[in-house]
Amino acid sequence: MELRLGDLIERSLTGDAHAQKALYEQFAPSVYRLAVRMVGANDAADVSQQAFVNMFRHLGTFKQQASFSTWLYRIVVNECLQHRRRERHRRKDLPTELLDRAPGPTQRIEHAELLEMALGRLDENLRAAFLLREVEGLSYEQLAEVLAIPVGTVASQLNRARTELRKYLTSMMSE
Amino acid sequence: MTCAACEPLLGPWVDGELEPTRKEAVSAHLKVCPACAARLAALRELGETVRKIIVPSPPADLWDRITEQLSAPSLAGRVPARPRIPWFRIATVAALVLIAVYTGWLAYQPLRLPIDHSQLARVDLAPILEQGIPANFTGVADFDFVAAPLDKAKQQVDFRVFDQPQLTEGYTAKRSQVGCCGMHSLVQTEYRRDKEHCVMFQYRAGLPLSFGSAPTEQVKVGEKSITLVRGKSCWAASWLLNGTGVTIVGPRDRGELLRMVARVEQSHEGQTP
Repeated sequence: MELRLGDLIERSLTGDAHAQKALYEQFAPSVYRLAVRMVGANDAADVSQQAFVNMFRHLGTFKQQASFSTWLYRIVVNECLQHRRRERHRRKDLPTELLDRAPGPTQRIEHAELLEMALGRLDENLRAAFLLREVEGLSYEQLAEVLAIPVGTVASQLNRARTELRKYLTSMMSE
Repeated sequence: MTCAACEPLLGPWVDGELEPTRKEAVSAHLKVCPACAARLAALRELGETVRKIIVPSPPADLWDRITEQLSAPSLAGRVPARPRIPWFRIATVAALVLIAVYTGWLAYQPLRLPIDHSQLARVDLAPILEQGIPANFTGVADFDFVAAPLDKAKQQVDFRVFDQPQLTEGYTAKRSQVGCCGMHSLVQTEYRRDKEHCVMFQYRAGLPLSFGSAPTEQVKVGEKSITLVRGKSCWAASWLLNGTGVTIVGPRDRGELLRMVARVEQSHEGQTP
């Protein structure tokens, strides 16, 4: 029998391991997908792991009236941003993983791969806004909640993200 | 509408977030402006392309890693921040002040249970569900218990503890204990009716419970969602009572357990955490 999300959350809070796993399985694909696009495939599992641990540890603070996925995305984005900060600090003299993979001039690559690399150059907050909108389909109101910004600035953040992505793509295609 | 006015509205237009009046204006402009129509197509393509990036499924062992980390102390697995000297000095001074204040405060507090953060915690109810509560029951495995009247127990834990002198007719509270394992603690109250025996655990929401392979079901008592577990020897029920995790284990009869749950709920209905 498939349980409602609210029941899964309540049962998880009582320590029911089956409910906790069901909750994980329901959200793992989207959490991992966002993590891969935010921090790269090498670190996505670590970031997803920490995000879920934070989610379960703070599940008692989740208010049932709010959207659970929005609450969870906020945890994931925060974990991705923290991870990037730690990595930048650790590898500040090295290029980012995604830039490492820039193709040689004669190598033929698909448009999607180019975009993946362009995403790697984008500011983390802009990248989160773009991915949450385009891939996860969040509304502007949900984006404002996840990114902790006013709803009025969501459109300008997304415009900046799209403009910069197109700029990076144009420059990479001409290389 | 000019192209300069139209361009910042193309994103919200694609996202379906434009107000109807502006939407009409943008639509009208797009019909007569190939340059803005091309910009719109490029925006759409950007979204379509990012959705085409193939992302593999989460690793198969990710759930095991999560449960392992959840069972460990809360700081495990974190990458420690690199201390910087000025902040470190400030933190050291602050820590010394806090320790002094805390030590002074402790002197006026009742004795607290020692917490060993290196230990793992899991309330394993499988043996009780399998064999019932033994006559010499002292507490669940891995937890160290200290006898404490409920008013004292309330002071020793960091969650709200509810006073429940009776569960159903004849089942009366005999003794309460505070149990500790690693960073977790729980309050255990034993109830007896002649030779019958059951136990109510109260704990901070999220403490992992194990029911072994016993089948579980979800039922409603009033508005409340309850996890019921059918063991070979007895039943158990787990639910959230105003923010505190509660588990009753021991009754042989499902109906009586549900009456116990209803009684506990009614006794503390509306009490805010």
